[in-house]
Amino acid sequence: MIEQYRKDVSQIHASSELIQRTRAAMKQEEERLQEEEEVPGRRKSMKWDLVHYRAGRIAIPLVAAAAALLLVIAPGVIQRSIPQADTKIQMPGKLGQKGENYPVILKNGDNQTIELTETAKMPAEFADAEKIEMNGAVYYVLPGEASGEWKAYVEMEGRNYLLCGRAEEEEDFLNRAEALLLKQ
Amino acid sequence: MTKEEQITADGAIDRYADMVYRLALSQMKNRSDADDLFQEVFVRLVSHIQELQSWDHVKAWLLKVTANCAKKHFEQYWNKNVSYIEEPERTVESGSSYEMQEEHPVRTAVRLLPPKYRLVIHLFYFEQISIAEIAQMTGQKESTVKSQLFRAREMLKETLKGDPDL
Repeated sequence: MIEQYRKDVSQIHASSELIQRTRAAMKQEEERLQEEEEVPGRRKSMKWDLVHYRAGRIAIPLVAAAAALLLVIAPGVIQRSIPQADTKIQMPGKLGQKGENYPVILKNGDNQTIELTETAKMPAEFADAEKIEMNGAVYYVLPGEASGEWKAYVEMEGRNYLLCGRAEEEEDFLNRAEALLLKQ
Repeated sequence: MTKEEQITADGAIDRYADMVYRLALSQMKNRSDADDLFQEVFVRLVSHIQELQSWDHVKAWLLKVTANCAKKHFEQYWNKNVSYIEEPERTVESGSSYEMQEEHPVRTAVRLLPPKYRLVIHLFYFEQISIAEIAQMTGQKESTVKSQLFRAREMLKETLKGDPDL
């Protein structure tokens, strides 16, 4: 299948007409760049240059300091403004038809766990997540904080679940998540 | 460096025109957009050629910029909401950007994949770029690229199943 794709694509060539047009556009661009460097009068007076230089010496460190301060303060501000329920995995009490408690932990032989919890709705962070359809269910998947960690949101049979756990590959995480969900 | 080895934008188009065009065509919805993308990439190269130290560097730069420009094209509102009716490629058209007799089902199936899956399939299987390089080029984790390749293959198998020739 892939061999056929390679064979197919290798028959595609950019036409000489397109290449010629492109060379002309490239030449125009080269000329434009040369003009920008050479046009007289573009350079302002020395005094203007000096003013700009002095302003730059002050402005750049100020901007850098402001940016550093923002980086320190912003995460705290953002975290306080987001309702905690949207970002943390909920640990509800009795849920489910059988009244079982969540989270349900699935362990495989390598001691890699998947945590499953039920939630009221999709947390905001999953809005931009990768959507993966698998066996009729749509998983919204995000990488976790650390390397090898994954988290997912899925709606299944009218209920909303959050899953998180460790796996080497995303597909491994999803396969084990699916196995856990099917046991519910 | 000999004259032949000097890195120039003109030399780049001689060496890599087909490579850039194939990637552009795999990403864009129609041929005229692919032509525009091709031209944009090489025009951009003019202002960056001095920074590139080797032909391998030029090749990687061209692939990366082509992929990024295609992605930006899709993110624009107009292109998110407009579908082009692509004419079936059944006849050899003289003077067109490329000539091809008939599109094989595999290529049609690849063309129907979402853009990010088309990209990794083309880079990995046709350009034979490694997963690590694709990850670097697209700014993604290697595991994400592997996952995209896996999903793309699954989707292709699903689309092409039952075809006796495959």
